[in-house]
Amino acid sequence: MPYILKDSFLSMILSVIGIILLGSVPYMFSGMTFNTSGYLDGITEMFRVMLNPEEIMYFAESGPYPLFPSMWGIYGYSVTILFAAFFIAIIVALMFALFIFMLPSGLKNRIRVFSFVFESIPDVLIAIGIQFFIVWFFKKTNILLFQVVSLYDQKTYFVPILCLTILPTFLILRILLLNIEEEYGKLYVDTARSKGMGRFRILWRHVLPNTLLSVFHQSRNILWFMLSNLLMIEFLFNIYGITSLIRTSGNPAVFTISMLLLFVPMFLFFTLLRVITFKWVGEK
Amino acid sequence: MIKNIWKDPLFIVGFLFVFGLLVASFYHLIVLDNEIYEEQYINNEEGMPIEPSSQYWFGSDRMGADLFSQIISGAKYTLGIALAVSLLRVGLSFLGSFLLWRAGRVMPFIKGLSQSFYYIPSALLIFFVVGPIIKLENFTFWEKAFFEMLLIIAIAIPNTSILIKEEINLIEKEEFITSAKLMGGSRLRILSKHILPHLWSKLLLIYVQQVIAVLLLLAHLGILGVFFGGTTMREFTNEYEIPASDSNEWSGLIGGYYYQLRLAPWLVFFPVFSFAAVILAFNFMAEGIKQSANKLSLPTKVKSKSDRKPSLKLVEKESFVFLSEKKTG
Repeated sequence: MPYILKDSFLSMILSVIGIILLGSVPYMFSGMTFNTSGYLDGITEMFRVMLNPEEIMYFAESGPYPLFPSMWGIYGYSVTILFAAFFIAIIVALMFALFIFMLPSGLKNRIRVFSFVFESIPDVLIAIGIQFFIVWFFKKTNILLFQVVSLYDQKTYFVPILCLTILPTFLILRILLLNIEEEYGKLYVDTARSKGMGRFRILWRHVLPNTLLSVFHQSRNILWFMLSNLLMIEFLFNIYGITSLIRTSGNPAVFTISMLLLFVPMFLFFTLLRVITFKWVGEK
Repeated sequence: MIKNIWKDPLFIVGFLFVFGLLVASFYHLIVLDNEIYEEQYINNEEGMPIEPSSQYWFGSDRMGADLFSQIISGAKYTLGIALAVSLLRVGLSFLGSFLLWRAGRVMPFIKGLSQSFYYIPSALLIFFVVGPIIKLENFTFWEKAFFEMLLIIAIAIPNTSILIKEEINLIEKEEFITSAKLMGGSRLRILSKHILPHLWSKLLLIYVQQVIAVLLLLAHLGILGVFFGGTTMREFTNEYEIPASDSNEWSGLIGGYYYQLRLAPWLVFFPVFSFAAVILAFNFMAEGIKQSANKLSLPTKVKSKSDRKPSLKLVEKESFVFLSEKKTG
């Protein structure tokens, strides 16, 4: 346990430094030539600004504003969408996995192929597709299913979360199905079965916790993938979230502080997962 | 090991699709002289973005240019960029993994620093760095494209190097490496003779996965309006100009047509759809490589009885010779 905390602390410090280094990359290029001294100056400047975040301004049409009080709303909105989509994806994928597992194996294989094909669809196509479906439905029936494009000060939650949930669901579902299969080949399942345990009980009590571990291991990749999706969805649905803020501001300080703020909940989540995994199976 | 993939149906399907697309694209370049058919006759504004029909499979843009031939023409650039960028990514990361191979105590720090890439969407990072530079007027198109490519290559190198290094470490744990070390094999020899033969198939898989990642990144950059292929302004009517892609490169097509999304959705839909199709093809290839690699790791395939019998006959009498009867010298 102390090892985990120490290691997490080290990786937190290093990640923060890494994000600041990446955030100051625009200082590295003057025009298109490398400017090493400019980069070093940029990094020191960036560290100074990060310690005094109230100084950061962003430029709207009506002039410069301090970033800070107004940023929390934007940030909260993006983080809500991101994490809501992530947890919904896990829950939905779990339910699907349980359901699929009860099906006969011929159907199972077909579903596996389907989920493989579906998973390859780029997020952009899904977002555009959903947008057009809603517009088309509105034209046909005059019923506006959901607010497609969010207007200023009006936050839509349902459609962005839906778009963001679809791909991770398939991704997690595939990981789950693959690992459930693998777990079933292990000896402890045979032991449980020979003791007369029910099929569903073995799945629920023994196999599923072990497969969830593999989802935890993959969670960093999944969330990274979802961040890119978030960028696309905020652009396509005209949502004013944290990535839109970065896009429109073009200021390295805004970029870095936003990325650091996004880093905090993700990092806490991963550390929590590590601690839980450790308590559960004693794995570092 | 690599030969085995040609027997895998999934790999072949994916490969044939990509190969066919490239052949069609080069056919379009060499035989049809890269010409895009443009419908000039109905040049009234109502009929102009022609909807998809049996004559225009993917519809046409406001100039009347056929979108299907644009996509075929652009395929070689998009696929070429994706294949070349990923090759450089994997190649440079391969060299990087050698540097990391004996990094020892510095390793946790490098790993921790490169973790920060996992908290930043890569399209946003590239948009953020390249965006202001692309707006500058005093660079040629090729300089900008080259710069953007360099960045796309560079951002993947730290994590890919670590990935390859971990693959090398996995192979290093095998017993035959220990015995090679005991026999006094030098580090370089162990690397080239014992590790590399096992690494190729992993590298191939990493390569295909990188191609998928680059294609996705290109699609994202296209939507954000930062794309290869160059943009020229074409005069539409006397009053205004619309951006058009020079080379019909796909992410350029998406970016150029994005503002016509409401008017003519198919103009954005089909380029994105082409990206989806190619990504699916590469996913098939990746799956095929994984499956054929798995087959090899399980050599204890139970043969049927009819297969086993003739192998008994193959045992030759000469293979059992008493040492006392053995002719020496």
